Amino acid sequence: MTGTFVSTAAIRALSLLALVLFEAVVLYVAYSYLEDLAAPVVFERLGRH
Amino acid sequence: MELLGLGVALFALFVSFGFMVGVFFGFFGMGGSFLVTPVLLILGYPAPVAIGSSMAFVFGTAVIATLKHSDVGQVDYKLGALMFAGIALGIELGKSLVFGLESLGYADVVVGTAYILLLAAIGLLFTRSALEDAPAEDGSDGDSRESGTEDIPDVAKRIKSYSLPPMVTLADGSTASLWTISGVGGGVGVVSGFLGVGGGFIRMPAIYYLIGVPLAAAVGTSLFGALMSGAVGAFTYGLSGVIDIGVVTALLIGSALGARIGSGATAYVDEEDVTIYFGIMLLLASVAVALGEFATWFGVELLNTASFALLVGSAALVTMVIFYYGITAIREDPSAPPAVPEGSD
Repeated sequence: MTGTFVSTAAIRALSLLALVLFEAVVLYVAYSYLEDLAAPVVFERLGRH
Repeated sequence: MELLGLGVALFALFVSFGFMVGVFFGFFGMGGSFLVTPVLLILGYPAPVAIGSSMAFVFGTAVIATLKHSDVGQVDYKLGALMFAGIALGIELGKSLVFGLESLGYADVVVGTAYILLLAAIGLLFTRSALEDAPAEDGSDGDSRESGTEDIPDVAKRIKSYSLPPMVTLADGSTASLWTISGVGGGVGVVSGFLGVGGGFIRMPAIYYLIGVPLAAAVGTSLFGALMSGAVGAFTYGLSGVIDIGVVTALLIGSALGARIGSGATAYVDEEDVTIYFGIMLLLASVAVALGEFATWFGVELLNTASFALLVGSAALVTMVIFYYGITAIREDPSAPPAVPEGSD
């Protein structure tokens, strides 16, 4: 049999890469939102004490 | 109760440790990965699992750093792409070495010993640099790299003078031999694949000193290289099914937040105040890995506990030092300029 085949291991490894990429992007967006929300409050409180 | 296959306490530990690693990454621009593999080794993960999971963590961290740097644009993508083949081959070679040693039963010992030497060497460099970095009378630190000069070091000029074809034109208009580029990529790849590190601490100097790329572009191109190293490494180890996604996720949750705070702290904290603590932490990490090796050889569990406490404790201490200096500076002058994101692994 000839042709190009993708092994289960390759699919598993690529899925893992995609999952890590997705996690990284979600975390980046979530923490950016949190930073915009919390940073002014934190700085104001630190500056006051 | 378990989270992604990890007990709640262990998951929280990885999130906390990832946070510390992220703070170092954001503040120093390095330290993102070469602390992760030793911790996993000390916790009893087999070398291939520790290295593979660390490579996947490097990939995730590099993605986040690239998103932060997306507006800077100081990346020589052509050079990065040319290095790709060398990096990929080097990582495959490094991985083959790890699995070969694993089949002989020596992987943990050899990788552990390599880490002892690596951490000690980098720790000594940082400590010595911090001790010698007394401010000059004119207020400058005497380091031409910080002055923004686009010059390249003499060693790079000498290497470039040997025109070994095929020659490639870089983004700044200069030329470099494809053999040098492939050699640098391959060498960094072997270290990455063997130790599970992004390799920024050798890749960035190698691009600057050996290929002769100006420093600003070397930092950005090195970051792009981290992304490729992480992706290739995670894929290569992923093929063998040795990556623990629970560990990677927990570390990323912590590091993504820590890196943000660490890079923010650079606007308030003078790096010279903290560098010596980072150097000492790396030296202690070297001792910690050595204790972990002794614990394995002699079967003394107490040494393993001491090793873990030393590694995590010293990392926590340096994180607190950065926080202390940062909070003190904010209280004294809340109107400091915004942070500039860091860029290596």
